[in-house]
Amino acid sequence: MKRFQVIIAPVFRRDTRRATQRFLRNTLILCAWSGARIRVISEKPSDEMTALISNLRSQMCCESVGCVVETAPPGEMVTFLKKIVEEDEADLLALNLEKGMMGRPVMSHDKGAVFLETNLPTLIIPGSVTFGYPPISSVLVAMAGERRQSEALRLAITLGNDNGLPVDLLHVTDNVRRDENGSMLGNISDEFQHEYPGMVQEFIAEASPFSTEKEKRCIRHFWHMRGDVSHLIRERMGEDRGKLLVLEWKGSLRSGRAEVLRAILRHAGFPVLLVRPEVHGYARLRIGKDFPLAG
Amino acid sequence: MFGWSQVWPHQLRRAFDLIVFDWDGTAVADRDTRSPGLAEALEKLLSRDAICCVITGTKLQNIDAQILDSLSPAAKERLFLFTNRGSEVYSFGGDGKIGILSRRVATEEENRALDDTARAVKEYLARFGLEAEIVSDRLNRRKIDVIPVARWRDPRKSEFGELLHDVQARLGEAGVPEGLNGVVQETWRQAERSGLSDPRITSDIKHIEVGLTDKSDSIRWIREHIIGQRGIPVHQSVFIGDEFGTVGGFMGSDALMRSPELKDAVYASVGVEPEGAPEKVLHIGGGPKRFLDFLIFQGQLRTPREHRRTRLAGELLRLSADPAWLLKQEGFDPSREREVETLFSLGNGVLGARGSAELTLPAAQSDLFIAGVYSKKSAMIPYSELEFSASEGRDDPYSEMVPFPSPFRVGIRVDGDDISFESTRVRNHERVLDFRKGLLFQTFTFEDRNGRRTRLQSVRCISVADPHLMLHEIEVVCENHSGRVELELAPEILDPELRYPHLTPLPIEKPSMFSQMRVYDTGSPSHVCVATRAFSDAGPILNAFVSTELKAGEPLRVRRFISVFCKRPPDELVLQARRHLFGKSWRRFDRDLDVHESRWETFWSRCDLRFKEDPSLTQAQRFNSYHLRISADHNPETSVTAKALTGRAYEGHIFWDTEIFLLPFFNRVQPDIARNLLTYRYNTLGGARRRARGMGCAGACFAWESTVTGDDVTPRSITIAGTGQAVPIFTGEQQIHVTGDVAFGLWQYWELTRDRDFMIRFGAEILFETARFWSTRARQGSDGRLHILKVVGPDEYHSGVNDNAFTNWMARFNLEKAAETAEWMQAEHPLQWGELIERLRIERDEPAGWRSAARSLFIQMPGKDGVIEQFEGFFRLKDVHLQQEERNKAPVSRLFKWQEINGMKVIKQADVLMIPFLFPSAFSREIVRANYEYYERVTDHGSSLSPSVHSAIAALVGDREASFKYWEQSLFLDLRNTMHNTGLGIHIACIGGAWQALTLHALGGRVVHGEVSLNDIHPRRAA
Repeated sequence: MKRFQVIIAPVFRRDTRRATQRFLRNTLILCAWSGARIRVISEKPSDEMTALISNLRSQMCCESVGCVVETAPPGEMVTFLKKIVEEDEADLLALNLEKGMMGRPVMSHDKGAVFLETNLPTLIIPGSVTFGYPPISSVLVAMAGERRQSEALRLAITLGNDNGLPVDLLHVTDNVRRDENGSMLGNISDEFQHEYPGMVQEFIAEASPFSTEKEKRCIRHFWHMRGDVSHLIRERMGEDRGKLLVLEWKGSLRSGRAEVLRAILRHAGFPVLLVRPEVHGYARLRIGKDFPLAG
Repeated sequence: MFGWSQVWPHQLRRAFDLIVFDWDGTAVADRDTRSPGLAEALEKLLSRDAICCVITGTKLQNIDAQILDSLSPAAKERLFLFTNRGSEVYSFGGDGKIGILSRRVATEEENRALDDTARAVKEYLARFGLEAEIVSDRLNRRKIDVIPVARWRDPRKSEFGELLHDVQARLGEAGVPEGLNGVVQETWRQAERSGLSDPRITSDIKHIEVGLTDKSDSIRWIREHIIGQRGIPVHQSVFIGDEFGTVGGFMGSDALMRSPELKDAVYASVGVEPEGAPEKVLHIGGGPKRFLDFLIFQGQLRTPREHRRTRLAGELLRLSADPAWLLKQEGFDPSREREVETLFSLGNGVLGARGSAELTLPAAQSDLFIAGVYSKKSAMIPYSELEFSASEGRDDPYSEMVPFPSPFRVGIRVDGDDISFESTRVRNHERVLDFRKGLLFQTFTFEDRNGRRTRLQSVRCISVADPHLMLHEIEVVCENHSGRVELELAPEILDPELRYPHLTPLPIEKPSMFSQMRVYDTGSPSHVCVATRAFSDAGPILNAFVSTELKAGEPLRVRRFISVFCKRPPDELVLQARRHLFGKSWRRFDRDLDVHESRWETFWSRCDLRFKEDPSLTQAQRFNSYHLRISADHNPETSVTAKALTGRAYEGHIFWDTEIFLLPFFNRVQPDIARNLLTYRYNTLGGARRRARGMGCAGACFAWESTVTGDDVTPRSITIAGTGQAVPIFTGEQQIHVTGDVAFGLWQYWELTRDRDFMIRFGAEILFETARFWSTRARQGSDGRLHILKVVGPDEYHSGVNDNAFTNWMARFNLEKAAETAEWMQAEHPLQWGELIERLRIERDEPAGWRSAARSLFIQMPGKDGVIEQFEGFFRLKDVHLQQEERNKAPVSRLFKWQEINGMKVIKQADVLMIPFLFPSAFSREIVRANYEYYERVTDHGSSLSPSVHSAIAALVGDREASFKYWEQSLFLDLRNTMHNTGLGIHIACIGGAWQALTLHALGGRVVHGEVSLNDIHPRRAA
C-alpha cells in the first residue's frame, strides 16, 4: 500500500492496555504493508506509549517503520487531531473498536467524533486481522447509489492504481416494495431502470468524475445484487482473504446506512476503510418549475 | 473652428475597416522619394485594427523597406502587400516576418507565349523602322519599351503629358497606324496568336505590358479572402489611387481596382487625373501628401485598444432580459457534467462542441465533432450507451464519427499552483446558453486551500456565419489576492489514446502566426487541422502560454480564434487555416461575433415560437429549435447524426431520423438546409445500390445506419459490458423502411418548395432507384399480392416479421411517387428524362411497372374493430400488461430477452401509428382512435421517438390532455434527462418530432413561428 504516508493512531485514556496493544500492533502491520509512518497520539502518558510501541516493533520485527509518539491533553484529542490535519501532516486515521454489549464491537462516541471532525479516511482494523492476515490483494467498494458521486470509489480507484490492486464494485438494490395495486413504494433511486439494461458504466462514470479512464481500468467486476446489503457485502468479502472493504459513511451510528455498517463491523474479519462523502455541489437547471420569472 | 468636415468629403469622414491603396504615386511620389510620417500613420492605423492593403505593379523590393521595418509586428499583422501586378500576395506573421500567401507562377508554356507576344510586337515596330526593347525580368509579364531613349529612361508621373506627346509623335512619324493605341491593339492580336487565354495588356505610355495578372487579381483576392472571409461590409472599404481616369485615351491602372461586386466601396483619387476622375470616384487630389493626411485622419477616427471594453465584460451584463432565451445552470455537480455538456453544446452544423468547462475534469467528455469526419471503428468508444460495445473488426473505413479534443480547454496556474477541480473548491458556478445569440457563457470561482479565490469567465461560440470558425474569450481575475497567473491555452489531454483513439498528431511545424496548431491523421483519408490565433490586451500570443502578474481585481483577458479545416492534404489544411486566420485581431473578434449574432437573428425571425401563458414552454421550445439549427448546415456530404454533433452515441451514424423527424422543420424554416440533407442521400446512392445488390435486389436500398459512403454500418451485434452477453442486432439487415422514409422526406420537400432543379438533378434518381428496390424486394404470394417479408418495422422489439404495416405503406408511397415523377419528367422535362433513363438504363415501361407493383402490394387494412395489424401475426402474440413504471424506463432485462419479447405484444415505439403521423388524412378519425387506443397501451416508449408521435396522434383524435402530456415529455426529454442518457448526446429526432407534433398536428400547420396560445393546444392548462 503506497497511498498513505502518515497514519495517525489515536489512543484514548480509557482504552485498556490490551485493546491498545492490539490496536497498535494492527496499525503497525498496516504501516509495514504500506510503507507509511505511524504517528501515535495518546491521551496516556507518553513514556508508557513509547515503551509499548518500541516493544511491539521489536516483537514484530518492524523497527524500520517510522514512529512518533505525541501526547494530547485529556479531553482535547479531537482538537489536537484537527490541528494535525489542518497542517496537512496526516492522510489516514486508524481506529479500533471497543467491546460493547454481548461482546460486540462498537465505536465509541469520542472515536466517532474523531472520524467526523478530522474528515480523514479512517481504517477500522478488527482484532481478527493479525499476523496471519495476508497483505491486501484487492479492494471491494460497496456503493449505495443514493448519491451520484462516490468518494469511496474515488479513493478505491486511487488505491487500486497506486498499488496495482483490482477494484470490485458491489451495488445492492433493496427489494422493491409494491402496494396492493402494484405501484412502487418508497425510494427507488437504487434501481437501474432504463431504455437499455444495466447502466453500469454510466453509474461508474457518474460516481467517479475525478478519475480518468485509465485509472478506472483497475475496476475488475461490478456486481449488481438484490437483497440484504450487509449480508451480501460480507458474503463478497468472505470469499477470500486479503480484501479491503471501502465504504462511504456519514459518521452517524444511528441513522442512514448505520444499520448496515454496524452489522458489517460486528462480523468483520477484514479491514474496513471508511470515507466521508464530500459535500458536493448541487447543480440546478433553471427550467420547468425552476424557470426564473423575468425581472 | 477648423474641423475635418471642411477638409474631407462626407463619404470619407468615417473610420474605414479596410484601406486599399496604390503605392507609386499614391503613397509615395516615386520609388526613390521618402514619405516622412507614412510609417507613423500606418502604425497608428494598423494598431487600431484597420486592415491595410498595398497594391503595386512592381516587385516587393520596391516598397520602402524602411517603412516596413519601422512597423511593429502587431501592426504588420494587419498589412497585406500585393505585388507584381496581382501575381503575389504577402503578409506578416505575429513575429513580424514576411511570408507569401499566394503567388501565380507562369507555366513554361505561358512564359513561352509571353515571350512570343513581346517578340512579335517588337518585330511589328521594327517593320516601321522603330527600335523597341523587351524587359523580361518581371514576374508573369513582359514589357515592351516603345521609347527606349535616354530622355525617357525613368519618367516621373508628373511628366506623363510630355511623355505621351513624344511617344505619339515617334509612332506617328514612323507611320504606325493609330499610334500607341494601334500598338496596344497589335499586342492583343499577337497575344491571342501566341495562345494566351486571358492576357492582361496595359500601358503606362512608355511601355506596353502583356502579362497573366493585373491589379484586378489583387482586388479579387481582397474580396474573397479579406472582405468575404472576415465579413467586412463592403461600404467600410476605401480604395485609393492616383490614376482611375484615362490618360491619353488609356485607362489608368487604378481603374482595375474597381469591381462590380465592390460597387458600395468608396473610391478616391489623389492623382492629377488630367482627363478627370471617373464617375463615383472622389477626386481629392494632393498626391502622396494628401494621402498621408487621410491616413492620419483615419487613425484619429479609430479608438485606441486600451480604451476598448471586452465583449465578455459587456456581454455578461447584456444577456437577454427575457429568461426564456437562456438556459441557465447554477451550481456545479461534477457527476452531472456529461449531461450538462450535452445540453450546452454549441455548433453550426459543420462543427459541434460540447459545453464543457474550460478546465479539465476527468469525467468530462469535452469533445469537438466535425460533420462528415469518420474513421474505422475503435473498441475504445462504446456504441449507443457506455454499457454497449460494438465489434472493432468492422472493415468500413468510415464506420465511426471521430471525436476531437475540445479547443476551448485552458489550464490556469496561480503562483505555480494548478487551479483544478480536484485541488480547489468551486465556490460559484454559472453556465448560461443564450439561444438567441448562440453564445455560451461560463463563470467559475475557485477557492484553494489558502482561501485564494480566482475567477474564470468565458464566452464562446461556433460561428453560424463562418463554418470554420470558433471564437473564445477568457478572463481570469484574482478576486482577493495578487500573484503570477499563467494561462495555458493547450493543456495536456488526459489519456488521449483512450479518449481519442483515432487521432495521431502529425509532426508539422506550426506557422509563427498561430498560438497553437494541430494537424491530425484520423486513421482515414481525412486529415484535420485545428489552428488557433490568440490575442491578449497586449497583442498577439505566439505560443499557447500567457504569464502575467495580476493585482487583486485586475483581469487577464485573452481572445482566441479557432479555425478547423479538413479533408485536404496536411499542407493545404495549414495554408487554409493561415488564410482564414490572417487579419484576425482583438477588435476583429467583436465583428465576427456581431455577424454570428445577426445570423441567429435571421434564424429566429423564421421559427421562434412563444407561449404567452407559459414562458417555461417558450424556453424549452427555443432550446429545441436552437439544437435543430446547430445540427445541420450546408454540407451535402453528410446529414444529421442520431445525436447531432453533441455526443458520441451511435457512432455518429445517420438514421431515418432526418427524413421523418427533422425535415419537416428544415423544409419550412431553412429549405436550403433541407435540400442539402436530401442531397446527402443522392450522394450516398452508391452505397445504397451496393446494399440493394447485397440483398439480391435492384435499385438502391438506403442503409439503416449510414455515414459518408452510404454503406450500411449497423453493428451486427453489441456486447453488454456488465455481463459480456452479446445481443444480435437485426436492424441493419431488416429495417429497410428507411428507403421509403427517404422517398417520403424527398416528396415533402418537393411539395413544399417545387424545387425543380433539385428534383431533376437529384430527386428523380433517388425515387427511381428506390422504386426499383421495392419492386424487386417484394415477393409475390399465393394470394397473388406482393408481400415484403422478414423486416423490422419502427418497433424494433420484433424482428423478421412479414408485411409490417408501416414498411409496406412507405414502399407503396415510394413506388407511386416514382411513377408520378417519371410521368412529370416525360411531360415537362423530356430532355432530362431521356438522359436519366439512358444513364440509369430504365426501360420505357418500368414506371408503369412501379405503379402496378404499388397496386399489388399487400397493405394491412383496419379490421372490424378498426385496428390495423402491425405485422402478419401480431394479434396472435402473447398479451402483456405493462406496468406504469415500465413506460419510458423499460425493465433491465428487456433487451436480454429479445427472443422472448419477439413473441409478446409489447412494442418499443409507435409503429402503426406512424402511418397517421405522416399521413394524417389516410384514415378516418375513428380508425385512428381505435389504433391509438390499442397500441398506446402496449407501447413502452423505449425510444425517445415515441412520445412525439403519440402526441401528434392524440391531437388528431382530439385527446388534448394526452397530446399535451406526450408533447411535454418530448419537449423536455433532454432538459429533464428523462432517459438518463442525455450525457451521451442530444435526442435530436425527438426534438424534431416534438416540433412536428406541435406545429403540424396540435396547431394544424397554422403556426410555424410567432405567438402560440395554450388555449389552442391545452385549454385546461391555459385556464
